[in-house]
Amino acid sequence: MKKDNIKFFVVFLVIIGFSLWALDALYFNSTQKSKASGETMALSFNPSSVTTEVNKDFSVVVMAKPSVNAVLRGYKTRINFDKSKLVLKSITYKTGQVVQGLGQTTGNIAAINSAAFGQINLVGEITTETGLSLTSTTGIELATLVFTNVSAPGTILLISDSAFYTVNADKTLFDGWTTTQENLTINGGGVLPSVGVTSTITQGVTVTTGVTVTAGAGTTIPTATTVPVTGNTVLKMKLKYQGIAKKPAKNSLAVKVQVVGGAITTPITKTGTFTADDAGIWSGAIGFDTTASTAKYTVYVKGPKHLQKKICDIAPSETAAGMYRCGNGNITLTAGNNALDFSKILLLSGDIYGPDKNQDGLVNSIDISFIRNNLNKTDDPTLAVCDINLDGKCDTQDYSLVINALLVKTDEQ
Amino acid sequence: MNNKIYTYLLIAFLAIFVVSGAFMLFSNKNKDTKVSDEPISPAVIEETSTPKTEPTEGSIKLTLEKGSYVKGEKVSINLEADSGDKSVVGYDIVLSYDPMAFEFVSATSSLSDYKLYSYKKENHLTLTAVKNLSSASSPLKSKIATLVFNPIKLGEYNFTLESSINSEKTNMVTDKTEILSPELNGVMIKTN
Repeated sequence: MKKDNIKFFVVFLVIIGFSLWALDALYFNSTQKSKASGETMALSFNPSSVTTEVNKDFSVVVMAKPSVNAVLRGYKTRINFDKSKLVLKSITYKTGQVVQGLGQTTGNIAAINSAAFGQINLVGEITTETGLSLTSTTGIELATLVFTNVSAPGTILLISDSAFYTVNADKTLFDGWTTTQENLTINGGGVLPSVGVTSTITQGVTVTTGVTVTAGAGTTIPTATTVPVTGNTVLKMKLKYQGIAKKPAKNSLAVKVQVVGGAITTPITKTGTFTADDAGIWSGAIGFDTTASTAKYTVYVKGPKHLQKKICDIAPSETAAGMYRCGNGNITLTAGNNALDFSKILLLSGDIYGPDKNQDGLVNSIDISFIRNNLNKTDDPTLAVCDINLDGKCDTQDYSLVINALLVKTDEQ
Repeated sequence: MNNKIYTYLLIAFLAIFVVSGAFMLFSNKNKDTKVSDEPISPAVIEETSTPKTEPTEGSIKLTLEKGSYVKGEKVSINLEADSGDKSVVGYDIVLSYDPMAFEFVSATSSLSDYKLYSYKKENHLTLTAVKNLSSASSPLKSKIATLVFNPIKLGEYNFTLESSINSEKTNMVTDKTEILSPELNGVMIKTN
């Protein structure tokens, strides 16, 4: 009888203990199962592995699957491959249309296969008004890639530099997806293809930047005083600013340019003086010293009444005004003059004012209210802040330009 | 003898198991993911003034439209503003919340002459509102917007108006381009 009691007690404890553990696991530890931050887009290949013979073709599909249902507007991702083992034969977009000038297609195969590194940039956009609905259960096929295997040893395809742009329920754009990647193994896998370039660069002589003057009610306005261009590397840039379609009467802008990349640990920031031609294309230069013969850089450009733009290409273009975006810097700079034609992308205006009466990296109600409260004023201190299109007036056109910039809102980083 | 030792060891092991299970249970009760057995529980509103390092003028407050939320029901949060005598032509809001627990659905201006823009960030929401050019500036003294969230986890969670996150700030801007830093609050929402 005593033995039976012990057995009963043991069984009772087991049931109680298991019940508590199960309750805790089911209901109270859900936060541990959650993602670190935001929604996740899982990128993978279908199939996840390939076994093939030398000189045989094989195809793989690049897949994307969101953690929650979403409406897709655009995407970009990069597929890295080992050129000594694979040759790209074709690219077929399965979702959306390629973004011309950014996304690569079968027409770019010669350039892809002859580039220093095997990289395929897939950049697509959904052109329908409603976007493309993605579900967390099925995912989508982004593109089909066909390769020829030219080497017996195994290798892999690596996904990197991905971004997804979806539309929130309130029609705002969301680009905060955290991406996860599953690589593709070919014939058992191999070493990751090399995707980087190393180089060194030293910061050049500090150049005196544009001075500020006090105007009106304590407003500090950057002036476009001529800044000497020094350094063995000169960036001669062409820019196009939103709202300025011709040469303005006050034909001078102080533009802040930041260079990042190579071995630079601290971004180099210079201010250059830019002037416009009859078509409203602004030209100017900044200089710095470099010891690197070749390296990849990113350039950030910020005008005196504008949002900062991140630019990764020597001659970028865009299909929708102001919508150029990029990931890794791809601008090669060498000693001497470097021509950078940024005039095919529009630099948005809007960051004219902040709590301390200077630019604050945002377009918000302060910028918009400043224009509203100064409409039709013509005094120089007001125009220095408010006259975005440089037509000599603070008017509703300037107001509309700032409203339009709310689509982007913040400096690109 | 062996059976006896075995029995004692088994009992000791199970006792540890039970105690650790109970510990986990009670430790989670102290977190904001508490789940109640009751079908509906009232939402608890806690006025938590955000510490500010600068003088405030006016206020922007969060209020809840109703006292209880059940699973699957969307949560509506009101924004109410008071700018005193100052005529306002725009405002910015920075609202922090747990995006793992609530999905932002929409932000709607309660004032017909304001245009409202919303931006969902990683751990917070920002709003920018501007008054139509054709409307005269006036003080804010009422509900200015309604925010709708979809609960994706049950429990108790804070929604807090922040004076600033990074360079983004909560403020109101007057018709003299004067920037008001209002008094702010937060609410706790409990869903079952």
